[in-house]
Amino acid sequence: MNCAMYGSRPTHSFAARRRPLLVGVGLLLALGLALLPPGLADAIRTPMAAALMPAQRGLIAVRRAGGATLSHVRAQLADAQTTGRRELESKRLAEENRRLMGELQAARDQVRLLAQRDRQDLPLLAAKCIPARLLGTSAQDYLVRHQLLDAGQTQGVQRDALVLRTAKPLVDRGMQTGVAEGGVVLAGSCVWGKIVAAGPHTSTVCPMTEPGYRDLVRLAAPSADGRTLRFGAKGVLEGTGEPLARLRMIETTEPVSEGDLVYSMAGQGFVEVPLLCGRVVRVESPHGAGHWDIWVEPAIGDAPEDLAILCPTGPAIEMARRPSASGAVSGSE
Amino acid sequence: MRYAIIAILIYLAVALQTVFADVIQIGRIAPQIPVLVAVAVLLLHRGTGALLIVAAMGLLEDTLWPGRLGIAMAWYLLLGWGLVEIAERFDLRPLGRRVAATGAFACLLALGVGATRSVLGEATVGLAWIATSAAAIGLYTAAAAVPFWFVLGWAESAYYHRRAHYQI
Repeated sequence: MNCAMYGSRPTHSFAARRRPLLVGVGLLLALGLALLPPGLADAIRTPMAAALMPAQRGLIAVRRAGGATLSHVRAQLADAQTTGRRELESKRLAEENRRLMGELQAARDQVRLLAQRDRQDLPLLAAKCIPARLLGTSAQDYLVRHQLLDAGQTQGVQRDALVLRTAKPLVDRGMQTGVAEGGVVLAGSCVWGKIVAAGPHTSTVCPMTEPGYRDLVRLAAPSADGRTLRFGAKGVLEGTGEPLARLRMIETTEPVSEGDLVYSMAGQGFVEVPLLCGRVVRVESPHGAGHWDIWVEPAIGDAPEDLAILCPTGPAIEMARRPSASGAVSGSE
Repeated sequence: MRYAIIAILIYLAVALQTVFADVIQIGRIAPQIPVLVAVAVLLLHRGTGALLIVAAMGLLEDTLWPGRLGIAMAWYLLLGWGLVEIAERFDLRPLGRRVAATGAFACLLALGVGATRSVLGEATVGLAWIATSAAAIGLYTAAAAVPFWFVLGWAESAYYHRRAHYQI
């Protein structure tokens, strides 16, 4: 600091000379105070303490407010730290979860591969779909004109026998392509009818709604989200000649409701995809009857263009019939 | 006006010491806030009036603690006199010297008061403990004096600048 700027310090010679006297008087006063009896000392002390009390109260209030603010800030900091720790923990757990999911998927894949490698039991039957086309009246007339019939001596046909035209649909596949009576005629994965007569080159189909159609079916109720099916009672689906097929042999103790789906059991054992027949549109319970009267709307209405005839085939049987590498024939089938 | 401001400062300093001593203490050692005010009065107010003021501060401090009155008053007076005499012979205006003077004043005051009370039988602790704690109090008070004297020096500088401006 610049001393010149602040000015020189005065010496106060007179004051400096009387300072020891003042200090001496002060020390004597202090000695006198020290020798005061406790009662008189308290008489001095009490008003001093009372005078300090307002400032002390104010400062105590300030201290409390400051302490509350500090504790609030500390709590906030602690909360922030806790939140940060939890976020880190959450991220770590999410990362670990992802890693574990990956490991689980890898383990599942490995198990599947091992199962496929170790699997030796081929299914006895497999599905074989024969594509077929519906023959219209012109095609049927052509066949009649050229005297091509799907029947011969092996079917018991005799010379000069009458040929009657049937009203049932005809498809362009017969026994020479593996079609057999009872084969299910599909349109997509929906059932349209059944083969009731198989000739060498053509076959007659009985649609689901026509009399003579019978199939073992099973009810299924779709879940609330529509993604899964809950299979229920089994029954027999019959054609009646009406637009709706009739489902019979389902006891009234079984739960049935309109909208339930009807699936064919014809493909059970060799078809993995359920074959849809139709949908329940009417449910009646005659008085005193033990079975429901259920009416089913077919999934396929009009005669479709592209059809497929479902036939079971036996790959395991065929493999067993084939000569083995050593030349031996295994199996007796 | 000046005495009124000094009285308010002393009042607040003593109140602060009684309320916040347990907050700012380290172990059992707390800085002596009244000592800061007393040394500031001695170095800035100067003269005999400063001695009277610090003597009154000593008496006020005596009333705050149990025991005989006059002990702190006597030591405030003696140390104040010594500081005033030193300040007249040496330049104590630099910050470091002011801080050192404050620490030394606090240390000697704690030592003197503690030793006197120990000799009079009011304190049961030994002289070594008193000396150690006095040194710690001196250091802590000196540390607390750094910002105190920094702000006071800045205000003092601003005051002298303004006075010089008006004189020009």
